Amino acid sequence: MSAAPLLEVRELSLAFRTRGGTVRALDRVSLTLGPGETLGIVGESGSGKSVLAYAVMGLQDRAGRLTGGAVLWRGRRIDRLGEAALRRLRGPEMAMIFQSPRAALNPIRRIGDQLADVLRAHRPLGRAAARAEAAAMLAQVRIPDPAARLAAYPFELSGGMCQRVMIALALACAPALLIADEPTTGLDVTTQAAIMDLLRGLARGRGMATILITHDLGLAAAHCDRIAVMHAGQLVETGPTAAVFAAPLHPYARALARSVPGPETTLATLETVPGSLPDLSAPDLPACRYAGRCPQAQPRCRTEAPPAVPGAAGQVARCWNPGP
Amino acid sequence: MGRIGARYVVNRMLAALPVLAGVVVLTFVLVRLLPADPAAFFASGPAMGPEEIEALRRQLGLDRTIPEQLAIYVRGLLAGELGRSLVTGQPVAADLAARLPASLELTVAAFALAVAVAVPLGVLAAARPGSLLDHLVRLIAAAGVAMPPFVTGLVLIHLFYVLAGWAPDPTSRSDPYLPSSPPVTGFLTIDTALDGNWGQFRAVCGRLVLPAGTMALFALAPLVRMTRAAMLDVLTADFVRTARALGLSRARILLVYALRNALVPVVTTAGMVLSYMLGANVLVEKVFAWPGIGSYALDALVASDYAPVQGFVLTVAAIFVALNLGVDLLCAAADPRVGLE
Ligand SMILES: Nc1ncnc2c1ncn2[C@@H]1O[C@H](COP(=O)(O)OP(=O)(O)O)[C@@H](O)[C@H]1O
Ligand SMILES: [Mg+2]
Repeated sequence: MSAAPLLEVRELSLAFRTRGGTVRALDRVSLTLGPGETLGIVGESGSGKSVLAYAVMGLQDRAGRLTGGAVLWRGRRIDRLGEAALRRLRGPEMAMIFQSPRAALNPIRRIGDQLADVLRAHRPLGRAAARAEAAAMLAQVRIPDPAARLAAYPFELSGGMCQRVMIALALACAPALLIADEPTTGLDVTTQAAIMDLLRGLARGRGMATILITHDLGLAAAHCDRIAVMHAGQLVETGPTAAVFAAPLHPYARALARSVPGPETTLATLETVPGSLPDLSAPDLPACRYAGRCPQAQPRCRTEAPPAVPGAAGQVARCWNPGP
Repeated sequence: MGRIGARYVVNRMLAALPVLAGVVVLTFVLVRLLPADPAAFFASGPAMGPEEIEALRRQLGLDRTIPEQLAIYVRGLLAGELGRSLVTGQPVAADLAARLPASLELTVAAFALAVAVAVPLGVLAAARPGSLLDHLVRLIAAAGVAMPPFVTGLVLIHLFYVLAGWAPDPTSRSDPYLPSSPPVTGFLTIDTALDGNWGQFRAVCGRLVLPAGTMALFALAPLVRMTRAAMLDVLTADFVRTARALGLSRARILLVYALRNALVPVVTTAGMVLSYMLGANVLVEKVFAWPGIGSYALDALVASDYAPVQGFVLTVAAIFVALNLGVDLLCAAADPRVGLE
C-alpha cells in the first residue's frame, strides 16, 4: 500500500440551480481516504452526505454544478472527466450501493443479467463466463442457491436479498472503494446486522476502502475507523471514531454525540439536536452554517469562515469557539 | 411463459363477445335512425313510381319493424353472413375481404413509419432534455395534434402532387400501365416483391408514401410525446442511477435499462393510436381514393346502404378487440410484474 491517499476531496463546493434559487448543497468540503480505510459520514438527513457521494462519483444530476474545489483519485483529478472516462472508473475503481435496494435494481431484468451487464461492461467476458461469475458473486454475498437465483427478478426477493444483490453488483469488478449510502435504512434489525457484517467481511477480505454514509451514529461508531461529521453542506469535524464520539470539539458534533442512544438512555433522556437545518438556498447563509443553532455562536461565526482546529486525539473541527 | 396461457386468451375473447353484440345492435339501430330511405335512393329511376318503391322496400325487408329486421340480420350473422351491398350487389363479407388488405397495408405502413420515427425521436429528446432536438420534438408533438388527417392529406397532395409533381397521382394503389402480380397476401408491396415485379413494386411503394405519411403524421404526435415522457420518467429512477454508478455504457442504459422500462406506456399508447388510425382511415382513404374498407363504408353510408356500414363497424370493432388483447399480451411480455387475470 502506498502512502498516497486513494481519494482526496479538496475544498469541494456544489450548487443546484432550481426554480426556488441556488441551493448551495456543499461548501468547501475536504476529506481524504486511504486504501482499505473505513470512513463514516454522519449528519442529519439533508446535510449533504448523498450529494457529496454522488459528486465524488460524478453522478450528480443535471441541476448540480461543482462551483469549486477538486476530487482526486489516486492523485489524479477526476472532477472534470467526461462521462466516458468516468465510466471506466465506476465499477472497477469505485462503486456505490444505495438506500432502498429494491428500487436500485432494474425491476424487469433478471438479476443474473444485471450482474452480467456490469461484468461485461468492464471486461471482455462471454455469456457463459459472465454467468458463472455472476453466480460466484451471489455466493460471495451469501445468497443461497445462487445458480437458481440468477433467474429471479428483484420483486421476487426480500429487501435484504435485494441489498445483497446490490452489493454483489457493486463488488463485481472488485472496486478499491465502495460507497454505501444508508445501506441498511429500511431493513429490519436482524437484516441490518447481517448486511453490515457482510459488508465489513468483504471489505476486509478485499482490502477495499469503504465510505459508510449514515444518520445512525451507532452504526458508524461500530463499523468505521474514522468519522466525518457534516452539517448543512459543511464538514464540521473529522477524526478517529473514538475521538469524535468521546471528545468532540465542534458544538454540532457534541450535540450529535449526546444524541447517540447508550445503554442507559431512555426515550425520555434521548436528546436531539435543537433547531433545524438552515435553508441552503438562502442568499445570506452564515459562514458557519451551524451559527443559527449554536449555543456558543459569536458574531464572527456568521461573517468569517471558521479555522481548522486540531484536538488532542487527532480530531479536527472547523469552529471559532470549539468546546472542551 | 406460464403467465400468458391459451386459457387467458380464450377467456378474453369470450369476454369480448358481449361488446361485439352491443356494437352490432347499436350500429344497426343508429343506421336506421338516419333520415334516408334506401328504397327511394335505389329506386330513383324515372320509371319508378310509389308502387315500385314500395315493392322494393318489401323486397329489402324494410317494411318490417326494426326488431324484426334486427332478428333477421342477427340470424344471418350467426350463419356468417353480413348481408348484401345494394351498391355493389356483392355479399358484404366478400367486399370487405377484398378491400381489407388495402386498408391494412396502408395502416400497417403508416404505423410502422410513425413508430420508426417517433420512438427514436422520443428517446433522443429525453436523453438530452432542453436540447435543440428536444424543442423540435415538443414542437412536433404540439403541431401534430392540431392537424386532422384529411387536412394533412390534402395539403400533402397539393404540395407533392400538384405543385412539386413528385408523387404519383393519388387515385390508385398501383400503376395501371404496369403488369400486376397474382394476389397472395393482398398487400401489394408483398405480392409484387414475391413476384419479383420490381417496377410495379416501386410504383406501389410510391403510391403508398403520401397516404401512409398522412396517417403517420397523425400518429406521430401522441407516440413521440408518450415516448419522451415515459423515458424522462424512467431516467430519473433509482435503477438508472445504479446503472450509471456501475459504469454501464450510455447506450445500454438508454436502450436496455430505460427504454425497456418505458415500454408499457409506449406500447399501450401505440395500441390506442393504431385503433384511432383504423377510424381515421375512412377520411384518408377517401382523400386518396384508396380502395380500402374505410372508403367502402363511407360510400355506402352516403348511399344509405346499411349492410356494408354495419359490416365495416363490426370488422373494426373486432380488430379493436384483437388489438387490445395484443397490447395486454405485449405489456405482460415486456414487464414480468404485469399480471394477467
Ligand atoms: N437535485 C437536487 N436539486 C436541488 N437540491 C438538491 C438536489 N439534491 C439534493 N439537494 C439538496 O441538497 C441537500 C443535501 O441533500 P442530501 O445529500 O440528499 O442529504 P443527506 O445528507 O440526507 O444525504 C438537501 O438540502 C437537498 O434538498
Ligand atoms: Mg442521503
